[in-house]
Amino acid sequence: MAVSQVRQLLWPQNPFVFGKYPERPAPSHVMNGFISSSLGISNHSNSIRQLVVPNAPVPVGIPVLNRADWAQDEGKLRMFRKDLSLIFNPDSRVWEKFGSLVPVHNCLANLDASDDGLGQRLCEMVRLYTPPEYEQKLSQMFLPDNPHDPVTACAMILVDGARPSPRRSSQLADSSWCGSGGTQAGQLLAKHLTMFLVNLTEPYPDARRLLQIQHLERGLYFATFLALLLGPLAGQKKDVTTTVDQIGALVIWSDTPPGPASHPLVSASGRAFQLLLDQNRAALIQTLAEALGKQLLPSSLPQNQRRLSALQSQMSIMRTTGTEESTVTAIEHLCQDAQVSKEGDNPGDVNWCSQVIDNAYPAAALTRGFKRRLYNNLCKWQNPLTREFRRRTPCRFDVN
Amino acid sequence: MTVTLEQFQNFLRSLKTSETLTKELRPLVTVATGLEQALISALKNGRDVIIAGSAGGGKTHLIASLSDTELSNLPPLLAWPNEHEPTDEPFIRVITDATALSREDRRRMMQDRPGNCQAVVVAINEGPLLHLKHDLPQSVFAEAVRFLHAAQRGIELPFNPSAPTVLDVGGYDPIGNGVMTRLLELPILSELVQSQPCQCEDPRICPRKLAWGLLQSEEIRQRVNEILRVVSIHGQAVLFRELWDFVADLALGGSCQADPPTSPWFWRVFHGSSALSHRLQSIVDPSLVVYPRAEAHLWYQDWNSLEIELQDGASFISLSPTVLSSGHPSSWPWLKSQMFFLVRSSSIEQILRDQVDLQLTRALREERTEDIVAAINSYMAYGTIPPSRQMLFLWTDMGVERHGVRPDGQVLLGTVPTSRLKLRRSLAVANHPDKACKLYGARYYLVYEESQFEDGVSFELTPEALNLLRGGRSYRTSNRPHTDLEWHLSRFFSALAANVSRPEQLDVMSLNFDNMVGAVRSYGLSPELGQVEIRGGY
Repeated sequence: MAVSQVRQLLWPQNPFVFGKYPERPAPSHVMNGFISSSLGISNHSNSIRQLVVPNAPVPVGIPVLNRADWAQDEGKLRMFRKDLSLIFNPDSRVWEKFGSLVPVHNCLANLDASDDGLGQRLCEMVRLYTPPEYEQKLSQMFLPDNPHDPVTACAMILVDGARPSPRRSSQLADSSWCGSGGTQAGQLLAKHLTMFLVNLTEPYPDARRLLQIQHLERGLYFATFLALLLGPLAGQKKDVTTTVDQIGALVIWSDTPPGPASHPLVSASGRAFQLLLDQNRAALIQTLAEALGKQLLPSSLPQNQRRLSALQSQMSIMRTTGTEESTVTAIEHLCQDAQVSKEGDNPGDVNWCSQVIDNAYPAAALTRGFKRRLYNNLCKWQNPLTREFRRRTPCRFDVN
Repeated sequence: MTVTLEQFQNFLRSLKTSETLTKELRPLVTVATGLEQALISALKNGRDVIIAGSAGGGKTHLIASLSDTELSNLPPLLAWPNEHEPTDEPFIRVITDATALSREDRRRMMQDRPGNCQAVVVAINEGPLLHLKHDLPQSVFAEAVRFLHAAQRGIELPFNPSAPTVLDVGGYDPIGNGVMTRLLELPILSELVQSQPCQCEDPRICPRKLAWGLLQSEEIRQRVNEILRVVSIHGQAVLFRELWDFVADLALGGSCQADPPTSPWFWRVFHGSSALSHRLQSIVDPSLVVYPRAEAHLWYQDWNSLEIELQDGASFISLSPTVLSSGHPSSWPWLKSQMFFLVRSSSIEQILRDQVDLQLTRALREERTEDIVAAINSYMAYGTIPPSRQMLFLWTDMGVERHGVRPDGQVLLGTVPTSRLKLRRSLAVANHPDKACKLYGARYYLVYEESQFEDGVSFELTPEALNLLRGGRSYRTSNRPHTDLEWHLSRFFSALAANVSRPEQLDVMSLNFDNMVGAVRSYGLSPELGQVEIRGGY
């Protein structure tokens, strides 16, 4: 499946789309992507991550190990690394060469492909809708001056000597649903998601910061979920929208999943979810068709080259690396994989777009990806979590 | 049947809202709760009163049930906004259901009042009261909420004469205050039972009427009240409406013609159709109670044996030999249900013995904080480490995802000495200077009062939380109540840690769920030197 090429095609309008493995990005991955995009990546993040994986080779250049005599004792070092894993890798999302720790300190955060770029995109969206002070608040939350609890103290010892390098600079396309040229519904959704995250960004100086970091981690993941699910719908909604539930409404079974199959609310929530997924897919197809159809093409262009030209033009909007040649290769790969022709006179052909999307995101994979997100994000502390969100957030996400 | 009895019967068969009570019937079914005294006393002193609670909690009834004698010393009570308010005479404004008013009316019900309005009484659900607080953060409503929330956590704030007295009907503990004992004593109830048409040959052998006669004994009525305490410690608090449903079923439910008869109240307590009976049935089985000296005599129908030690004045209602000899499976439970209330015993706990584990409930009543602390410590460590009674250990994990099994490690945020934690019982009356009006509610809290936060730090020890603490923590995440409890504990621990956490000591607990073994390793941390020192473990 040429998912990465399809994502490239969709990104200008839909910055939040699944990667090849929709189930892969976990809350800690999104959090790491968000933090490192906002505050920068540490030069020690790889070695610290390796240290927290007990079976990986012992990394060199970790100051705390150099200073400790006991680190020469293999058994003691192994136990220490195991304990670090219990603290900083509770959800088992770290491996030797990639993965994400709980970023109790900014310098623990890592940026890799684990989050499919979703954390970074969330960061870009939040940056569009928050005042500049927000980054300072975020920085206070993740770069504590003094430790007041043992977990923060341990994190600060681990990152001793590490310095975050400047963040990558990138931005969302104006044409995206949450961008400056997006729909009113899209901007409303983006504002609400941002407000939701801003409210969860609370730089407590004491031990409460640990729980607050967990709140933000869940909040980021939940915001990603909503952006993935509702974003394409918001991008397609052309009429005036005043509340988020006008974009897409869901009935949610808020007890332990999956719930008794015979319960009417379980059936209703399953059905509502499926309907929204269908709408999401239809919105993706429609957006792509409209985007390709809107590309300005020379009138002298031969009719059968209009689609290829539109595809090249759409893909080049978000191209940060690579050449025009690589774009052509990507289009060829995409068309070959989806068994569609790159040639044609109607770039906005809905059937063509439908085949491309269906090939990249089989229905079962999409459903599984979304369900997995909902399950992971909302279920550990489902009802109390919802209450907490509603208590802290003035915007309307009726998830109960 | 007189008109009043008929009205009473209709009331018992209705939804039992305060509005369904007629003027004649109301005084006949009203029992003292202690809240009236607080209400009258506040009004006499010209103070506003806010009666908070949930639907069915008895807010409206509390106002409506004030007797003529109680009202005689007060200015007239006038319902707002419907009744005309005089311009010269003093009066008291009453809003019996503020929840039903529009948001705008609710905002002005206490503010727009003439000078001759001596006081305002407002009955309101807690939700709308909270909305008022948010809408008007500098108002008396906000002050009332402050008092209410403090009282709900057992904290008595200094009296503020300009703030309203708050009566928390929702937090009132009818069982703890013996309301059932008084309800069963109501003459109209006894009259109703005696007047019930029945197919029994003679009222003197009617099982329903005979059994009701047993309730003349205060000890027996108290025992009914006490057995309901088991319900309220094993689930949510008991509402007034539920009590009336229970009473209605005791008085009118069942049939005298069944074998054995299902109409006697002692049978219905455990096998009736009310919600309380169902809850009770799931907790207590009277058939399993053992009466060592009496059992053989009951079995052989030796009703007059001296070894069936009954309470003074109580006499056993026997079952007919035909029913007993038929071997009906309900015969033995029927006898034992009756024995449950009639047997001489110092307390209900003596009778129940091991059937219900009341250890933590007793610890609450006797303010044994160390027992509660030990239970929480044991719970958090999955019972793998001997629990401390002197220190509350603040274990937490940093995981956010839901897996099938809980994280196999935790970190200690700090410890709180048990001596700095207090067990508090909620108060049903707040901001009332008269100590005689002090009434306890049904909620218990573990409170840390030395907190840097204005509201203190507290954890509600709900009946459900106590059950879960006693039952132990599951390493599987599928159990929803455990998950909810852990959320509340994590918030409590986080707030406590803000007060007590020290960055120099790191304790990590690793758990092996296969063998249910836990081990703790300790490290000394020196953030300024960037050093970690291994200190051993336990």
